[in-house]
Amino acid sequence: MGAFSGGYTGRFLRVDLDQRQVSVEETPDPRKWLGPRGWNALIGWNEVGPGVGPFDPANRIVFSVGPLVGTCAPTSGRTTVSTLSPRGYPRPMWTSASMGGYFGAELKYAGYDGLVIQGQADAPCYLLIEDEQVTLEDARDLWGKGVYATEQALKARHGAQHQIATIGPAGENRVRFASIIHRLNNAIGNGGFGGVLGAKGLKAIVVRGTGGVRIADPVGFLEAVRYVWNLTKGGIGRVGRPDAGYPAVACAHACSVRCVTRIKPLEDRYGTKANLAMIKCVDQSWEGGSHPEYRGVSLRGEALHVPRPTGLGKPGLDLTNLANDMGLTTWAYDTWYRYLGALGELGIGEVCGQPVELSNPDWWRDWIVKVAHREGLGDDYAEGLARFYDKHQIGPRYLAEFIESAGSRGHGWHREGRAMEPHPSPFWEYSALLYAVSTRDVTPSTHDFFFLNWLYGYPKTPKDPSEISLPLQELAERVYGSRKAVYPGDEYIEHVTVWHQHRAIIKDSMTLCDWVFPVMRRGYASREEAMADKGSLDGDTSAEAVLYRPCTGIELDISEMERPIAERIVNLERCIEVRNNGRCREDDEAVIPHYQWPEKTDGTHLSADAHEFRALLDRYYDLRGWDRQTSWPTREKLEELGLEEVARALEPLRVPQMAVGR
Amino acid sequence: MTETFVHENIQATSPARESLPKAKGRVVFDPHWCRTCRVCEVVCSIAKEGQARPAVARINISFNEFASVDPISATICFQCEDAPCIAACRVDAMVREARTGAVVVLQDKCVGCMRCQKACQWGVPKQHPDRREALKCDLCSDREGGPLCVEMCPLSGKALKYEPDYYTRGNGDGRV
Repeated sequence: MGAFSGGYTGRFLRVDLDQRQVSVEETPDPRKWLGPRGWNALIGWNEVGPGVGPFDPANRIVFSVGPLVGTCAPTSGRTTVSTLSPRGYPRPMWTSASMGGYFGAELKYAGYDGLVIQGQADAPCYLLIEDEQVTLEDARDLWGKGVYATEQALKARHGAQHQIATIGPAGENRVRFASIIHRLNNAIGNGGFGGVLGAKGLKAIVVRGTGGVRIADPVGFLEAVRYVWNLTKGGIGRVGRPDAGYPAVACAHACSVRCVTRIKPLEDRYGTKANLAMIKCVDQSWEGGSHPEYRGVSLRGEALHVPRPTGLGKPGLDLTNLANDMGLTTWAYDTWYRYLGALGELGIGEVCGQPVELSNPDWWRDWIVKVAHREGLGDDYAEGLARFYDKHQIGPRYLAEFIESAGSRGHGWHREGRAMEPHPSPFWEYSALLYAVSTRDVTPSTHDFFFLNWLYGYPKTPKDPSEISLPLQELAERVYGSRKAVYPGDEYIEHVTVWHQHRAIIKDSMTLCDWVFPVMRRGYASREEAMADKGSLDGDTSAEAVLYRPCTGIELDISEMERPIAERIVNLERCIEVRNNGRCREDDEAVIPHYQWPEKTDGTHLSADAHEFRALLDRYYDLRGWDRQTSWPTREKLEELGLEEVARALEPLRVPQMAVGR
Repeated sequence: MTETFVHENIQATSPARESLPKAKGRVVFDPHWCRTCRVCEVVCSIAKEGQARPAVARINISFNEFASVDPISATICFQCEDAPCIAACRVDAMVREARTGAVVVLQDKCVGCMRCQKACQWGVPKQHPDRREALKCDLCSDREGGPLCVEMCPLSGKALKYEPDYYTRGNGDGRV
């Protein structure tokens, strides 16, 4: 491992549930792999071969934390988790997710950069990490319990300062959209990782650390923190909400911005009077409703109306809590309401002989519990909408595909499972390209460009570049190198996409918040402060490196983090898909049918043969150094990135190009 | 160690207290503004021990999601006027710093017996996890700019405030 004097601990924990053995190994070289996304991909490539399924003992689930975690670097308290996710559709895919809370910082204080879990326990157990002391404990008494009761029992047993990540019944029963919950509702949520822990028989991870994170240059580091905090203090929307009332918590260690979080007391039904730190964003759709409806006609003349989830008021809040307690992603309401609601409008009020009552909280309560326990029809719902449709074929196929399909890798389309949320051009094109080359809903690690569309007056597509504000055009030039990046159309979108993919890797490797980094625009603590600085969009896109250098003592600048490090990681993640799943251009193009639906505001379609999108994909592959026909990273590109062994391993799999053409 | 013992111990050493410097300021914590980022813990430990390590921080923040009352709280010294920790110390390692009025631990004298912790109503002084030594807030008395945690708190002046005249302006009572 390369020399460093702070940030990293240099130690990685490995837990083998088959052998019930725990070992410590060296953290892969930070100079080559930077942090979590790189380490996790390396473990995925080296250890999760073709033929391994998400619920197999051979699958790995990796929890890791970047060099800034546990420090006071703004928003740095996040944990990145990667595994072969059962949610991937049509095939499980190697996927990453992240969560806030205190778990990551505590893992670092215990002395570890990361934690790999492999194998399968012969009886339910939980992992207890107390600094050097790492043991597997009996969890038979916790198996079957909800998240809240489990967390409370473990805190009572081990101490209030122990940090806990746990699954609920949904994870135990391998529901494909089960979550891993920490601190009651920080979640590895929509990625669908809960079932992986469930299959391993690991109910929870309990961690307590009393050690520290070394800082290479403490004075310089505090100076960097002051500088970056001053840039980023606003969080989402770049304006903080200090008038939160009491109590109010931010979602991660070292973040003080209550973006859209709030705390609500739980009902007594969970056997606890816990306060719930609720992440409002999509969670709140159960209570107050979700994003708009969608109405359109496809190129093929298919008419579609996808209703807006209306929300259920106060009982909806209780349902959010129930979903968290069962360990189901709270995005489920949005996806399933849209599908079942659209069926209702088509006169289909029953599913497999069972009535659907979307405005009845009791129906939803029953639905959540049955899905989490895979009872009756809940067993089919638990497979996710795409697989559910494949089995039952209720309603038109294009309806199900519009909400969740192979093109969206089995996640809700657009913006993290909100079923759909058409954006103005060029954000629509950007989103489509990201989906095409991803393994999950992509927005969780690439919010930043989408946020710019607020400056457009979302959801309007400008008719002419002259309608686009000058500061936004200047920002595009400064950050992406061209004003065309924010013009309608796709002329420069491949560059924007590559830039954000790299920056997502860097952010997930530090580990920082996606709503704040990269700092393309500065933030403000209050509306007043923002008004006083009207018009300025100045940020600092090198903020990660500004924090990284004094923390670790490693002299890396942001351009080196982008290329070759982040580029190397993007390529390695792609190679896992290529080797394990035969990922090819056809898979990437599965995004096209969705992309061809009209835009919300101007009703335009792509051409029937989608040559515009195919050309964009060509330009993206060229920029990446990937083969246009196969979509695979070329041997030359892999060798250039120092991935010679990976290149060699792929060589026998390379098939004659003729066989792969469209 | 019984309460009676501590009490007697305070009584026994109290005559010396007239000559000690008086309480002046303290850090004031307001849970209504705190977002539980715990940056204060980290910067305290960086300043005092050179690494980000809450276990040795002289301030700690707790967010207890299971507490229906006061889920957000802080553990930090009030630097109270009637500091029983000073009296409880049998090796004279606890002294009042003249400029800020902070009660500070003299590292070279402290033997880590933790009598100070037992004497404190809130149990604020804590034991160093690696050394036999008590740790408590000294208001960064060696620093011109006041306590670093207050300066670095993202909600500085709201969640954490330094009031250098808290006990001298006439309305201090050592409680939040």
